[in-house]
Amino acid sequence: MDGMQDLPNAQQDADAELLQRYANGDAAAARLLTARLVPRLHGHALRVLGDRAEAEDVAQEAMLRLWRQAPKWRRGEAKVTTWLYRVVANLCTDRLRRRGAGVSGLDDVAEPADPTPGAAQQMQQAARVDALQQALATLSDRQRQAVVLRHIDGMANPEIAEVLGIGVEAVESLTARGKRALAAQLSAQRDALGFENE
Amino acid sequence: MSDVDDLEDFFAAARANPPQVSADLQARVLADAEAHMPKALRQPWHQALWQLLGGAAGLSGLATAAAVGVWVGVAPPEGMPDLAGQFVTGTWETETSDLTAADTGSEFGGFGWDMEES
Repeated sequence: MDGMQDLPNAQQDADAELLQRYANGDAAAARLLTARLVPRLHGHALRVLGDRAEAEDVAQEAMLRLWRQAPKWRRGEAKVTTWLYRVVANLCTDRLRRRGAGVSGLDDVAEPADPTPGAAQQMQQAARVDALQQALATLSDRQRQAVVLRHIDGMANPEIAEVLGIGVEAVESLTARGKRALAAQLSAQRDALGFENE
Repeated sequence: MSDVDDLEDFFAAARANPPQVSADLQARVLADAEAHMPKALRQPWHQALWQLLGGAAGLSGLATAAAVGVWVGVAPPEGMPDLAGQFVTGTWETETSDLTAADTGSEFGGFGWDMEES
């Protein structure tokens, strides 16, 4: 895993600062890193794997590798998040290969809805999230990873290329084909998901 | 939906509704963090001694002082007794007080507090 620190274009980041503090024995830094990073890693893994328990195991394993790496971390050579997303992507790929079959759509990706005044709108949002997850499950593993990284995790194409270990053009191709497939899947549900008035 | 750009509504909904992280997962991650937190580095004795002597700078000064001391002992400047040479050649001489008189009490007495008795 050491080689992952050789990723180019890395910049100093707040996570690296916290990781340095953790390596020096600061327990509060570990709590901050957990709060900052685990939701993102877990969310990504859940959307790619479609299984909550597996997503939790992947997020925990990625963070465990980060803790072990902390004393050897060379600041300025890699962004902590890029390194972690790459670990998560590899762990997800391994699990998907072992699984063999496709990803099931999750029932619990979206967790909406207190019965508040905006509850109806939240339920509609949750329905869209569920529909998206069902559609994501029909993509190839690589397409799904690229689309989630680009459009849900908000990552730029060069960083996605680092995470997935492919070229930027390949990322563009994966996301374009993935979005076309998603559009085809979701178009039939457009009216049912409340788009008739939009 | 004729345009993939319409997908942004779905993506926005997903971004606005991130999956919740369970308390159990947070606890597991923090337990791992605690278990693998690097301990304070214990310093080996030779490193502690090295730092005590001031590192390379301190040790070079110490070595220089030792070398000068040896040199002055072997080849003393003009006017200084060649004690090392005498020691090596066996011509070492010591000046000792003749305590015989003191032993008899004829020369010293009262440890300097003698008072003349009238």
